[in-house]
Amino acid sequence: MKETLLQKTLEKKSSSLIWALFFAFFIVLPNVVSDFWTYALCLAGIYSIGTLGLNILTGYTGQVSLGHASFVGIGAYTTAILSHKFGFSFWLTMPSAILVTSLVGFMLGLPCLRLKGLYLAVATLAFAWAIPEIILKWSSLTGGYSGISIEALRILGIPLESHIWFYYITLFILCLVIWATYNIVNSKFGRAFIALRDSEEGAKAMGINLSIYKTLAFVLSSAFAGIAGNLYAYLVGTVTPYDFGFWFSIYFLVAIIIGGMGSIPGSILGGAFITFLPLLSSALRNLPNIIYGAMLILVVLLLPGGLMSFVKLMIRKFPATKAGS
Amino acid sequence: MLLQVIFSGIVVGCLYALAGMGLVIIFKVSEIVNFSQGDMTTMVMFVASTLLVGLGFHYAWVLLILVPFAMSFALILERGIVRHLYRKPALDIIIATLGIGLVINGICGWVWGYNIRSLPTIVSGSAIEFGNLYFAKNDLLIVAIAAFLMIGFFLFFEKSHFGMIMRATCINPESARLMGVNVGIVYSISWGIAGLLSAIAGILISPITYLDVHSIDSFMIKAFAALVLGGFTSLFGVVVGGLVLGVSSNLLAAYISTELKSTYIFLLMLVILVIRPSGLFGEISRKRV
Repeated sequence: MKETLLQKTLEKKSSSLIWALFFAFFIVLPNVVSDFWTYALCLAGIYSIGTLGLNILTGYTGQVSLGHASFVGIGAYTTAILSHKFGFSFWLTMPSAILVTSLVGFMLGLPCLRLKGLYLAVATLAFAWAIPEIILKWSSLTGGYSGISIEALRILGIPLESHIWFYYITLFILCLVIWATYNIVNSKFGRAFIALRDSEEGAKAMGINLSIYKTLAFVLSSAFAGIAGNLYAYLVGTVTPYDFGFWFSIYFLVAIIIGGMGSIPGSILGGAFITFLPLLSSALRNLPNIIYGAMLILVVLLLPGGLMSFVKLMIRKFPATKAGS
Repeated sequence: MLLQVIFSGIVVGCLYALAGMGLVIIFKVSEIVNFSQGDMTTMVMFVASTLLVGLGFHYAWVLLILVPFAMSFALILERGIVRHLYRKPALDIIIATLGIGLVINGICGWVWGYNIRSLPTIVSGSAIEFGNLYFAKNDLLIVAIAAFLMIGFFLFFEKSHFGMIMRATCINPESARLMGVNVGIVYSISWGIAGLLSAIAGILISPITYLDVHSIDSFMIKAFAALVLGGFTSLFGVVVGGLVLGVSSNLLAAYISTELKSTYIFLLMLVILVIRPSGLFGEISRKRV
């Protein structure tokens, strides 16, 4: 008994040490890599936020969406319009983007309550096609094909010129989003989501109100997409209608499948994967699609938990790596 | 003007219906919605462009080569990958077929590049005038081929022995197996037929639009809409759905706005899915708990 307590304390200490090292690594990282890779890290953080949102909807609640990038696009456009046309600051555009995407998520979520599985997939697929078209049509506000360019992010009136500061802001927001997701999925809501995913009939029998929780999952996932869209607009500096097309939505789905459905670290892993693979294989434009596709097939056929389950398996198989620190 | 718009709507509607029939046949037999069909078609179209433009083959030869090619390609996919997906949850099926599509798409980009190509029409020449209506010869040929295939497949399913076997498998695979039907072969053949239909739809549509790795995507969304409209399980429904969609979106483009076609399709699909998920002619499937 004593021993196990001792072991537990040791384990706790070593795990907090691992966390501290982990954080230190991510704080030092942008200072040792070039500006381009800092930019890529920011993008990875943004995609991870979006991926976490989709994971709440698809990974935890089991509602497939092929139109997640459209919400990122709506968030980015809200930010660009408010910042460019009305001069809103970051402190106002961020909540506005979240509000607008949540509202759109709510409006799409309501009719989608009755849909599941492939019906929902087809409906969200059509949504992904409609959004760029609406953005184009509404050119008085959105600038049509040429899109909108926005100024660099200002904090306390000072424009952020280096990507390093943007990186820290993204990292901070990503941590907040991870914390929020962790709390959501471990709360009453998260348990309801998981029950709903595993069996709608079973969840209903246990007294879970399907409509409320499905809508909530839609709203949460689109709110996260709004955060990602807001940061994306500031980082990239311009938004154009086809930045957020159907293919981008597929890549978000790829991220949660490859990382691991219903896994928070998996979402980060997946978000980073869909950021870095195209950058690393820029000479071969077609390579990411082939790798993504092959991985989707492999995950479905052989590894239902995604890469994260593979990592866990490795840790379990080689305990030395866990105790070695 | 109105009749002319309706006619061109029927022409594209026939193509949506052909692609949609491919989706229905697979779904009816195995409850798999094939999200990779668009990319399978894209590959067949690229092969067609190489044969036609690169090697200067005649269209008749191209069709003669491509139809067996498309069928065997679909058969290989079914045998190799899709076979392992039967009875998996809907999400797995969506993900795996999307994955197949991504791989094919990436390979197409690798082999044929990302430049936009155009294909010659099958027949050219002056349009046939009828009153104040003009019928392009190529459009008439499209309607004729589509009508031939639709009627052919109706007869095949309703009258032929093998059609009966396929219908029996759709209704209940287990009892079909007990009656001595080789269900595995029926699954494979459904993919072969879908490959054939989508290949022909692709060959007919690409001269009208253009061809690159993403050109088929917006066409496939309309095939999915035809599928939703007609019901996922009805061949007749998907033909009606395709025609209704072709004509109505053409009318919308001619009289209201050309820029909101996809939005119209999205709203139409949402309304149909919410009010009547089984579509106009589909059967309602009830899952037992």
